[in-house]
Amino acid sequence: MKNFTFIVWLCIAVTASCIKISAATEEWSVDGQQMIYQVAADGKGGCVLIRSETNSVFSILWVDKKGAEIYEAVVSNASIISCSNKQLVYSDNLNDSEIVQVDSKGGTTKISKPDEEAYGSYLGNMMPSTVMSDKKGFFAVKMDVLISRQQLVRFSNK
Amino acid sequence: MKTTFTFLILFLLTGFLSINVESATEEWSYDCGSNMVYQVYTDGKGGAAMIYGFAQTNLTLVWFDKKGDTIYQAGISNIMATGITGCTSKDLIYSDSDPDSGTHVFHVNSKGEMKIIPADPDTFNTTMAMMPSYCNKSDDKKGFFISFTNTNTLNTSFVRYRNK
Repeated sequence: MKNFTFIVWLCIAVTASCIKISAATEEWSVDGQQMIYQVAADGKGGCVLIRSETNSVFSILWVDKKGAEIYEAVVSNASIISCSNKQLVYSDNLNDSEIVQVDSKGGTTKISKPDEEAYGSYLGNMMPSTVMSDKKGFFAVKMDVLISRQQLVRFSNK
Repeated sequence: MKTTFTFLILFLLTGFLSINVESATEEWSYDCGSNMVYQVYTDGKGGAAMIYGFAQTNLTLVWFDKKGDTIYQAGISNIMATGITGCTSKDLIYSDSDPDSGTHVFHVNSKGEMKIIPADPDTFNTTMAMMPSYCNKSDDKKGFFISFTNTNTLNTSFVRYRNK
């Protein structure tokens, strides 16, 4: 009888330890304006997004893992080349075709050469790749259909 | 005297450590001629595979190691067959198609040896990604790839940058 009880409790314990709490939890959100075009998770809970307003003014926004703004700039035909929690690199055509490197304090350095225009790749610009998740969570776009506005929402996995 | 010397060294060391090198550094580059870079897929170790050309057909695929040396080079008949779909420092996977030979998936090892993934009779292999889901990855932990086009000659170079 003791052995049987022990085995039953063992089974319950093993089953309980296998249960996964899968419900995601909303952590924060940022304004996606009228449309979000590209999202790149930084791998540490933050991300960069490219968005546009109703007047077709595009901007790039880099937020940290708490949703706080690190960097924002008006851009044109931009695409994200690289993003970590320490730096952002993106291509932009607002003035000339240029590559902008941004540090974690929001300081910018333009990567340029005399008489040369700088680009990412053609497909990277035309069909930019998007990374919507990291180890601890993911991003989703919330659309408000009544006012036609978007939000980028950060969820933790649990 | 010894104390002064120690403080001096400590001062210099502290100053050196606090320097924040922010700008990217060019490591190597590849001349693409008067073409544009279509697709980049980094291997995660400093190398990358890249497709360049002038139009969507008759392109060139080049796989570079982290020093910019060519591991493998091949013609690409049609970028619409999704191009590069996988790249590490050890393997390259890409897809291509042309009217004569059909669509194939290719595997290349780190020695540059290419093998067409065999297909059963009356079938052909293709990659999962189809338009507009091109794989495009331009960075790794230590750096990234961009291209420059000379405004006078229209010559394009594919450039590897280290983050610092």
